Amino acid sequence: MSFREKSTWVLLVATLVVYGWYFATTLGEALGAGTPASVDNVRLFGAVVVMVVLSIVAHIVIAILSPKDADASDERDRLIELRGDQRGGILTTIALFSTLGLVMTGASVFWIAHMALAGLVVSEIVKAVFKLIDYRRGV
Amino acid sequence: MGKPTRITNRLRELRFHSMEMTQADLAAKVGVTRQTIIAIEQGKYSPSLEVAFQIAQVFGVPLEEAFQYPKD
Repeated sequence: MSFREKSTWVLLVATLVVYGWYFATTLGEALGAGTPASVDNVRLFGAVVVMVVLSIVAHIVIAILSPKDADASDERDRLIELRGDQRGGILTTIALFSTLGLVMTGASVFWIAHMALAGLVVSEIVKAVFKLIDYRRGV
Repeated sequence: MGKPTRITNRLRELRFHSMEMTQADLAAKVGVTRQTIIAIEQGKYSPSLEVAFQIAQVFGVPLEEAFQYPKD
């Protein structure tokens, strides 16, 4: 497995775990509460920080385990990267318009912000999944 | 998931005849990752013309001895 493929796995798992936890707790509370939900700044900021720290640590571990491959990428990695970004990009656009839809229907800031965040997270996940499929099945 | 490539190659054979050059050696000579050489040999990736020419050059053969494309 190439460095880029391992890196994609790391980002996918980290995204699923960190944002999975964030959305499970945050949406759980928001849907359960009768009062209008507000953004929990500490939890949101915490998720972003944990995500960054996890990714950095995991990449250091990958690099230590196979130092020769560390940070190597070539034309095949770039092609797979582009194909993944292209497909994920479509989702980002859909998410953006969905967010605009929420704005137009007068949704609260909480739901608008989380629609935008969820759109980003889901498109990152989709990008990673398509890249991993390309790595396995070939391009 | 692109269509499977119709390009075939003789990299495995050429490596064997070049003093059993490893995939890693070939990758290093051409400047791609070892996984890309594996993907090319398995027919899962068609390299760019640039890389194809470089591979042929490593073995000292014309391009069409390294890579083939079926007629029709």
